[in-house]
Amino acid sequence: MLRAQTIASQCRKLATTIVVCATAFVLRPEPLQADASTGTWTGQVTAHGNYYLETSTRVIMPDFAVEVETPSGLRLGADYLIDVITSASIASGVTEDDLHTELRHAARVSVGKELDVDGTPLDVSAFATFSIEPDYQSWIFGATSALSLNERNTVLQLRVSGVSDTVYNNINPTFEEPMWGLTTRFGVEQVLNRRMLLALAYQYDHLDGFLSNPYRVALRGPLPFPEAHPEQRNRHTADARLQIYFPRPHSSLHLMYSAYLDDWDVAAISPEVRYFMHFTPWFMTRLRYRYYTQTQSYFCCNGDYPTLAEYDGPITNDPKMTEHHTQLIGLRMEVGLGTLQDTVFDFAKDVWLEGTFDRYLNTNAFGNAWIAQLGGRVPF
Amino acid sequence: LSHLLPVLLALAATLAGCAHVAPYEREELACDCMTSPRTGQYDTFEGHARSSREGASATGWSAGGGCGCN
Repeated sequence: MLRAQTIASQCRKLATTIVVCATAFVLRPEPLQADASTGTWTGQVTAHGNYYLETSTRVIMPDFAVEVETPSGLRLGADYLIDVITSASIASGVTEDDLHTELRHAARVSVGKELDVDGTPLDVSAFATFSIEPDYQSWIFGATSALSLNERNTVLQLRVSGVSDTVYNNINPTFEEPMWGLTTRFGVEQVLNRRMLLALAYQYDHLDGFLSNPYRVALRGPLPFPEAHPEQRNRHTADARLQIYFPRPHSSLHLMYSAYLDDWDVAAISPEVRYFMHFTPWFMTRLRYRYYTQTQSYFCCNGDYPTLAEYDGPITNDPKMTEHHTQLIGLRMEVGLGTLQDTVFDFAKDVWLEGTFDRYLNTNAFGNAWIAQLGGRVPF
Repeated sequence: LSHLLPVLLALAATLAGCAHVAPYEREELACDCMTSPRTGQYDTFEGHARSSREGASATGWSAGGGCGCN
């Protein structure tokens, strides 16, 4: 634990240094660009209400975000959300029927800019996210870069982010365990022709520290023991996305595929298809289907553990560690109010309303869920 | 390795089939339906929900342990 705390502290310092350096690099003085003479600031304000409902858990999450781009091309972003989690779930550790409501607050800031490096566009950005709830605190720092080559036909992307979390326990005030992680992602986007785009990426995650649920227990023989996952996890993800544009009807098809493997013996694949269609300039829909299947971890699950008192290996009752599959079927609609231009409602002509409705089918113990979002955005 | 086959095939297709597209020929690639720029916040929420229900969802994108995500 001491090692994890030390590493978490060093991770925070390193992440802070990276973000500060990236921000300073983005904000460094530069000669004004040609388009800066217009003095136009652009951006958008968005607000959404998000909803998640399954048998044992309900989440209501409003979020608000502001994005601004200055005349010199500097991008600034800030958003805030609050999670209202009402649960009697096996994950929360509540064993009776009483509902437990918990609030999570999260804020994120970001800064970015496209730079010109000897005629080659290089987009760099940095972000920081802070999230807090009664039994969990999380910091995420990160920086991304995208190098555009060959008249933007090829884009190389690199993202590095670090996470530093602290896990608490609402039942045991002395409980405090750290967790830190590092994520690196390398991607390539390639224009194939006038109507096709392909993106490939590889991501590596390393997690270290307390990776269990502090409330969950697992049975070893007849006796319950606190869940104890291994304290390290190395995760590898490769994904691909092929996007095809169709002029008639005005639409596009996105084919996606993801393959995953980690050292807990969890392997997963996830194909997904998305179909976007513009019915009119003011009405767009997205249909979506995603399939996901995974193997179980090597230390899964109840009933398979030695009853020997000296056994101190990993033990879990986590439904995520079981072999299972999920399906997600979704519909998204966007309606622009541009038709209100030159009417008494002209002030609302730039507003877009958005609605997303997903049905999530899950064969593990968490069960099926509904996921939805309603909201809108106002560009300026 | 067999699970990576579709990714490798896509890579091969890229190398075999890509053609240079000039900036002025890129109107259709810039369509909203190709860039889907406005789904980010929903994708974050939905991804966070899935990461607490699936064992293989990648980390580093959304914060918090909400509803016992560990």
